[in-house]
Amino acid sequence: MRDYILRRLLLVPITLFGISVITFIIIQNAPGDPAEMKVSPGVGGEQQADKSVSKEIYERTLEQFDLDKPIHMQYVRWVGRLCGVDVRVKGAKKTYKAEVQALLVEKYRAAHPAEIETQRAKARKTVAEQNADLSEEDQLARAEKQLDDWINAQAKEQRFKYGAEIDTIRTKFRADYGEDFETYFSWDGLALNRYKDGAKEGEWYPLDFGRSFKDDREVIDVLKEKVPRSLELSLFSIFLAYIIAIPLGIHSSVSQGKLSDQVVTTTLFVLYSLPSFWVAIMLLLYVSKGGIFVRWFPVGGLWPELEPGQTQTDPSVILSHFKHLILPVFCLTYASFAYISRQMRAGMLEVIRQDFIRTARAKGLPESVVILKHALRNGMIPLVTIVAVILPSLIGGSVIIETIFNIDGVGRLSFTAILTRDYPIIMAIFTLSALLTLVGILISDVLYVMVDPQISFEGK
Amino acid sequence: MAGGESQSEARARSEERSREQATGVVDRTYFDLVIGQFKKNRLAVFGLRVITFLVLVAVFAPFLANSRPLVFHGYRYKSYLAAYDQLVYAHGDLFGVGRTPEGLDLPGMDEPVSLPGLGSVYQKEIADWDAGTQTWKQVRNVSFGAAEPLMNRLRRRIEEEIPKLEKDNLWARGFRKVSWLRKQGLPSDIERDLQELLTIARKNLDQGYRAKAELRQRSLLQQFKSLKAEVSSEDRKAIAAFGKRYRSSIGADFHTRDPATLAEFDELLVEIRTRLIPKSIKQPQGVTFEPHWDFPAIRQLEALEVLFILLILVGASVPLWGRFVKGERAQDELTRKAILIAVIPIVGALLWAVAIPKYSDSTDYQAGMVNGDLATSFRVMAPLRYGVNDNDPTKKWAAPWWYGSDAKEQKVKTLPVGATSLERDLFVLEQRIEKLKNAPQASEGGWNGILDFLNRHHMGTDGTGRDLTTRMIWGSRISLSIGFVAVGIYIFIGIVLGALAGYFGGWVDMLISRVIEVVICFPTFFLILTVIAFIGPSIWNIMVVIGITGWPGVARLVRGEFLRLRSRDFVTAGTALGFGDVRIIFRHILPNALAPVLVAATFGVASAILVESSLSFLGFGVKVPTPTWGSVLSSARESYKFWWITLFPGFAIFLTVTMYNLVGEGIRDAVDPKLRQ
Repeated sequence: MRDYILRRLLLVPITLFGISVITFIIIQNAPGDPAEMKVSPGVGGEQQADKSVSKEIYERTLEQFDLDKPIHMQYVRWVGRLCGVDVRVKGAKKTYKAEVQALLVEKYRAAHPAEIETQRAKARKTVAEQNADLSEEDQLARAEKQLDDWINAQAKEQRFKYGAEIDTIRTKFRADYGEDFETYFSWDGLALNRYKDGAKEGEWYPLDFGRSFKDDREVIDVLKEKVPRSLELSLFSIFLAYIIAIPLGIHSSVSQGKLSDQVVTTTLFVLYSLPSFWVAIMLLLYVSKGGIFVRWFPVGGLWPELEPGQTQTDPSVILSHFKHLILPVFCLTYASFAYISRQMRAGMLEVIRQDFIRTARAKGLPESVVILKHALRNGMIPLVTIVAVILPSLIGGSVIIETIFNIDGVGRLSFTAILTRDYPIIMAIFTLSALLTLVGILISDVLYVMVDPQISFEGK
Repeated sequence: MAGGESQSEARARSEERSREQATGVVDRTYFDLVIGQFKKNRLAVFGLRVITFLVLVAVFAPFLANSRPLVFHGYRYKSYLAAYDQLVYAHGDLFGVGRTPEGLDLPGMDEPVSLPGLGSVYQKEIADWDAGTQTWKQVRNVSFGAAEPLMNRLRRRIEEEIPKLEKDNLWARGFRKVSWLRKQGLPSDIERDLQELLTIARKNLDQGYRAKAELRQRSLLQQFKSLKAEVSSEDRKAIAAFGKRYRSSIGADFHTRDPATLAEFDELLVEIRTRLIPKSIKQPQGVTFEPHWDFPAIRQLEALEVLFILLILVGASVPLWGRFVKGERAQDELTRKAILIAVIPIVGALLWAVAIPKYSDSTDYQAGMVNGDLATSFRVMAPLRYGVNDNDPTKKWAAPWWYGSDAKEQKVKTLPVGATSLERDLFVLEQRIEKLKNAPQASEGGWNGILDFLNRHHMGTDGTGRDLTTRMIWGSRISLSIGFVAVGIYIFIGIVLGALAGYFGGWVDMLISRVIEVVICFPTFFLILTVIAFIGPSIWNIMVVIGITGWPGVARLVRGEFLRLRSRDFVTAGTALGFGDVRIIFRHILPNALAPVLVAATFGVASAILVESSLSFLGFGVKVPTPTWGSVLSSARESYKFWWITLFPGFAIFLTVTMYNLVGEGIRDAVDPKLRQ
């Protein structure tokens, strides 16, 4: 038994690895570049007026997102960041550009000493005006930096003059790295991850999921913001579903075939078949504050607008928050009633027919004790399967409910991430949800074996 | 007495039971037992009936809601006109004869001329023009039964002969192609057809002149022109104004509004004539147009649709097969029936795809029948005479006909005091025109009129004026087909992999279970969204993606069943007898393991329908003009006060899903050995 658990635990990282690789490959092969989306966010793709500028922005964005590197290097870097390690990659293109720029600057410095001096004086003057509070050395340093930037820009303009020299450099690079040296990358060793906000030297920061492409926030921060909202909805929903469905299932199994069982079954069936987005829209149409019949429930969001003088912990605000929760939680929950109660019913029916229940009744125990004490424990087995599903649903959210009720949760986040090809967020959500699923399955398998010793998973 | 059985059936059943008990031989297959148990569950039987109804609606949708007639007997005036024009041009270019001015007065007009000659001429001539010109597009609207295949055939032959580059120039050039073509040296059969065509065309050109003259004369507006010469100048002004209003309200766009009854329109014409035109126009003599039979709606069917129609017809006729399929065992009978049910539709569909000529037909039948474009003596229309994409902006967001008083205020015009009798005549006529403009859709009259009451907006219209009932009927095809195909895909994959995992165990099981885990770990809906966002939404992509994400559930079920069954005696016996693994898996264990798969399949169809409608709701479903329940529901987001757009598709989805769930529950209860009575 322990061996089995250990074996399964060892397999978890392998499966997780497989899942992350597959997800990575799928999203990378999607048409549509996140960098492109950033540069020209219009769907129609308006032509950039200044193509050279946009091209440079595009390439810089590519580099920033790690997208110019080959896919296996991107993946290793991602895994490395997750472990707190910065797997450095050296690109020939960058070195080439640096060398070319150095050459140009050198030529420029040699060719235009006078202009440089004029500019230096100008820079010193500007710095003196703007930053009079700094010390002499600081001012000089700053002025030199401004001068350097200016020289770099000027040098770049001169690149057409020195075509021959640039060609020499290019040939050299081609010789060293091959024809396609622009896409040549090589490993450059490991270092500690320093990408986190406020990273200190020498500190280890594991579990860095990267930064979102959209607004350059840490993925962890984005998740920290959105997950609690979906988590709240999911927790309430699961809790309610079980509280209501388990007794219904037990009742169904006890009075099988009678009218109450049929009524309950039919109602739950009907609820199960209603499409959730339809129900949500109908509820909003008829019972929400913009609705036709009654105006009880708020239209969307999770928190009310705070009036001046109110904080989030005011009892009235919290009450209003619960009111906001009612409709979304209902839409999330009603569909599970049928499933959970059917599973309970099926499990209990199996158990109730068995001999030991007859014995218990024959012993003269009251019916409630027979059902609730003896039958229930054995009949809970189908619920064990469901446990596997609970964990991942905590972090997932329903896109549809969140869209309709305007809740900024994980569901909407993944939807937007997929549309805008926000790879770090997609990878983070898929991987975390996969991890939770695997752990959930493992827990439920272990519970199976613990609960029913007859089950075993050995091979032929 | 259990539900759904008649007395004779019950008697037969009890006889069979006693026979079974006596001889110990059970002449029913496992499926007979399951079906018998299923029938006792009234809810499940009801669910199955509703599903059958939905499938019938989906398969026979073209016959239920179609703007084109199912059967059409008549002809098209406009096409004759177009044909005549082409004749003239072709002759002009081919033989260097100048274009004949219109209205040429030819001698010999009193002789009766029958136009079938013209028809047959023009058949070949079309092929000729078609071979050489781009104006085949103009006569594409013509459908004359046999002419069209010839045209297509010739066009195809010529396309084969000429390399693509020249062909593009060909279409661009205009009429000189035929001579150019002949210079290239056409194959002999095309050359032959062309020669024949030209000979006959030359002979019948004058017939075309006469036809055109006759057609011209029939125009009412022509009558106004001639009328103006015969009345006083004040009346002339009033009639000209009336003519202008008539032209603008009836002539130009009348055919896009609700057309009046043909009888009322004819009556109106007669009334105009008697009131306004002192002399009646002489009916031109002798020229007759020959009507032909055509089946526009049926011609539009595709092979796949024909396949399913045949499938249902053959399946429905199974009870009539009787003695033809009886075999020695119940198993044989089943096999024979299955073979026939499979083979006949497939053969029929293949024949349809290959042998029936197809050509596109963009005639607006509805409009044409009213504005004089088409003449028909007999037609059979579908009950709902709306097309799926018939935009009609004047009718957008219309409520169902039985709801509320949304009647528009009619602007009532009154006759001013002191009007002359002509003004009164004009006024009466204008009122009738107004009434015709706002009338509901055409009553067919005659035996078609029986179904007129069906031809209304039972569920209202959507934002662009399309009838909702029609869109729901055609949308059911998408929903149901996505359900069936997607589930079919993933059941197939799931059975194969689950069987392998369950039967062999060991490392095979471990490997397949890990693969199952990997696929399960992806949050399904997001994976579907991701893949659809990447490869584009289309009906096949959605089916495949749902199929690829759904198989692990089935695989786990099958694996569980196989784990349970592989230690049974019959498997050991099979191995002892030397059966191979594959045989044992697919012929012996699998039929017993299918019960949970059936249950998963029915629930799977329900959930596939829900997934598809959610995707359409989010905007990722099938592309826009194709109607589907989810996309109709999402169009309701624009304006919630049109409740019919929210209610009907949602209810349809709900109903379909409920019925599938009921059937699934029924199957589950039927195959559960512990519940047998």
